[in-house]
Amino acid sequence: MSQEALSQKYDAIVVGSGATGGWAAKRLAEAGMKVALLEAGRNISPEEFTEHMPAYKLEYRNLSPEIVRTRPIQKMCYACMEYNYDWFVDDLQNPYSSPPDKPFTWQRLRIVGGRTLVWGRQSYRLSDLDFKAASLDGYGADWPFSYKDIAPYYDLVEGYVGISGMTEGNEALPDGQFLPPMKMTCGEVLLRERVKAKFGRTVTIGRTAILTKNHNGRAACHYCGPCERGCSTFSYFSSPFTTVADALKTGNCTLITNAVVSQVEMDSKENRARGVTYIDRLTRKTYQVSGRTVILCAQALESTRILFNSNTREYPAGLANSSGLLGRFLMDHAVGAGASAELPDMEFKKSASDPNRPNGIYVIRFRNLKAGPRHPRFIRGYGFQGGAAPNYAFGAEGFGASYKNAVKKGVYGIHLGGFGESLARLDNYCEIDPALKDAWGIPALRISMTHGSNEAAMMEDAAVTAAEMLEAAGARNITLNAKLAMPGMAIHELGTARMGDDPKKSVLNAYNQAHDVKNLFVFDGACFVSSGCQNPTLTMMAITVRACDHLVERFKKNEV
Amino acid sequence: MPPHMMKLAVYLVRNDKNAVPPCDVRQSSPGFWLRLRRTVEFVPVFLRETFNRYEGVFEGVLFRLNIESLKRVYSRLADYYDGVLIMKRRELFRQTLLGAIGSAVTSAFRGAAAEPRHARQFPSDFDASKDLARADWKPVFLDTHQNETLIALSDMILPKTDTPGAKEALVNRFVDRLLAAETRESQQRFLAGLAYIDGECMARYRAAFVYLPAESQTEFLKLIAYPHSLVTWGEKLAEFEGPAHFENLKSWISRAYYNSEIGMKELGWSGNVFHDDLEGCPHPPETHK
Repeated sequence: MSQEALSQKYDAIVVGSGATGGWAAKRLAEAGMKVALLEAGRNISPEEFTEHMPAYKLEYRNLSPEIVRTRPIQKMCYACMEYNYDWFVDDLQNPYSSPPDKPFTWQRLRIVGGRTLVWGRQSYRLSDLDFKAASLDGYGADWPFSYKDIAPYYDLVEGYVGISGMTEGNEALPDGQFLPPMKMTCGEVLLRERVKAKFGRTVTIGRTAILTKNHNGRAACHYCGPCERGCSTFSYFSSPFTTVADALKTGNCTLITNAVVSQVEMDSKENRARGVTYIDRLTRKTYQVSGRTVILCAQALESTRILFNSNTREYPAGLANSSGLLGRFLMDHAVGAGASAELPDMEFKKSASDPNRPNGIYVIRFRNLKAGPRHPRFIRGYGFQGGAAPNYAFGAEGFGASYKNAVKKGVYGIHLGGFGESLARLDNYCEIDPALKDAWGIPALRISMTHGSNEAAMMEDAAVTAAEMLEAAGARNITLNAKLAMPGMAIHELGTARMGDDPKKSVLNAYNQAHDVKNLFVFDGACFVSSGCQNPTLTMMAITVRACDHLVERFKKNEV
Repeated sequence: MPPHMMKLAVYLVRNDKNAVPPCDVRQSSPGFWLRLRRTVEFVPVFLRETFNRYEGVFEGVLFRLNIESLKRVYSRLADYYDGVLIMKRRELFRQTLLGAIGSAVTSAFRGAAAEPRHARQFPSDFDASKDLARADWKPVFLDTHQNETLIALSDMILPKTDTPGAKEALVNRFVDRLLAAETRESQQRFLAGLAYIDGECMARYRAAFVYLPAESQTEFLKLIAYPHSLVTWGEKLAEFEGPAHFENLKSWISRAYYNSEIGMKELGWSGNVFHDDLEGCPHPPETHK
């Protein structure tokens, strides 16, 4: 990195170039601030995209065993495969630990764009049912803002990103600024009609960050299918080609790649952050970057890890941790429960040259709403993601011509998988493991999380209601699963530096500013107070834009 | 023509990356339509290369260009192509789009430090299945007999019908390659399946599977292809492992076949990845109630 870039004192140092880091860099640079955007990983280039490459051209046809060696944990993610495993962290170089009775799986990328390169793109708004859930049922804490405060930011983010979806007028899942929705299949239309008629519940098309019309210089999706291998038409939202590109275009932003931030540097006398120290990913040389504000967007667990590793004499338990709650209230959605079945009466013809829709259906939460009954066995609620479509019957019985024909004839499958709220608990937390360091010598995390009885009861209900809904659609051969997957499998890590009005009960204030250190901010999922059941990325982007507006305002008045 | 564009023109016409600008660019003398096509295909590349040179000036112009109008321009030109090039037209549009967006995007990384290209980037002609099709191929993991057995098994499980089967798709060669890289447990389980089949065939027919006549092979596979119930009145039978071994081998063969070019074509794959829209449910609204 050039000496000139390093000797400068930036207005803002943004750590992480993913969903929130890209927005932070964009908004702050567009407001005229000088931004240093630090990314632990390397650059990404569209030449690495492989979404159109058929599997037979790969050495192991995407059945690759070789990634087991360096990515035994990353390969648990459906999106980590032979085409793109290079984007995911090398587990051998980036270890973490967890108690043997509390397994936790942690999937992440270290590359410009982070997990926005491979994310699921599902984008749902939270509502006051989530922001004020504690007031409704007495568990946990309310968020320090309400839906009306964040709604204009949801509008702004959706308008830029381009979210396609259907309006439903459902209070539990507020409608957004939508591009035309993707079309449902026959089975999904059937499910929607029957479920509405019998249960009054809403099955809608997935609200996804994929364009169905040309938008902001990016082309509409052409339905080739595997977004997580890249997109040469930039049809799904990922930060390198949108927010990060915008930030760089202003001329106010300097992108520094291969910068593994180890800690925030403090000016103890002034009680202000001075900047950060980072280690070059390749050479292991250390560098200092100085800034007037420091903004952590490295993802929930990584940002909190940086704060722990930035402990000083004044903050021995971790920077900005006078509340003692840094690392606490770790959440990840409860997944793994649901039901799958067949629709035997569907007429269909499937071909491998059909378009592949990179989206599913969504069942809006119907448990424990504002009005209506409280479920006797659990609080909060869950939604479903799923789909109904013809599948090839690779598991058909027998062999020979009859097997070959049965595979091709296929089966019309239908399935629903639940996403349940994860309660914020003091005993779900992360801390530094004193005996473990990553390949850069930075102390690693010890993550201690389990799903509790509320999640278990909730997802048992989810399996049953899923089966009921499939049955109502005329499905047969229904199999239920009520067993929860390991924490971390939803890849929605939230909490560990939660927001709140009371500095004794939270790490950040309502604008993502650390209570203890006025020029230190955390914009990513670490700030979440509760998890809702909705995919969190849209919300954390909206929170980021709101926090940036506030930061810019205070910065211009010299108040940070 | 400026030198950098001359080099590009030569590269495109001769499709030769190492082409040195010679005196005679028209050496290969392609037909008129081919030359026209190559000239037209050259345009977005020219645009991109020129934009890369004069970024500041062109970026503003570029984003004011309407993507739809670019599409219209090129689809009109595509009418002059022969019918086979429907796919190429979309490729062209994609290239144009890439040219349109790519140049603006590549400028975004100007500020980033130069990086050795150790990323897993696949060149456009990358195809790892070509090695498997070589005449001098030899197994790297299985021995000759195991390889022959696998060929025979795969041919029975996924035979040639009106479309090629697993034998023609060289499933045994791919399975051999994948096995060599698998975990020990996975390898052992696979070999145990082959060993089981041979052992049972020798016990029943006094010959290994691959030496049996087709009727005996079919008869034996029918025995192990379906799950058995293991308990009869008052007796608990010894575990019959046949179905588990069969399922394992069948799953290997099936995955290898349906991920091969032949297997994908058998399912209707045409190579086209560009779809204008999803069809969705085509029925009138009251149909699915």
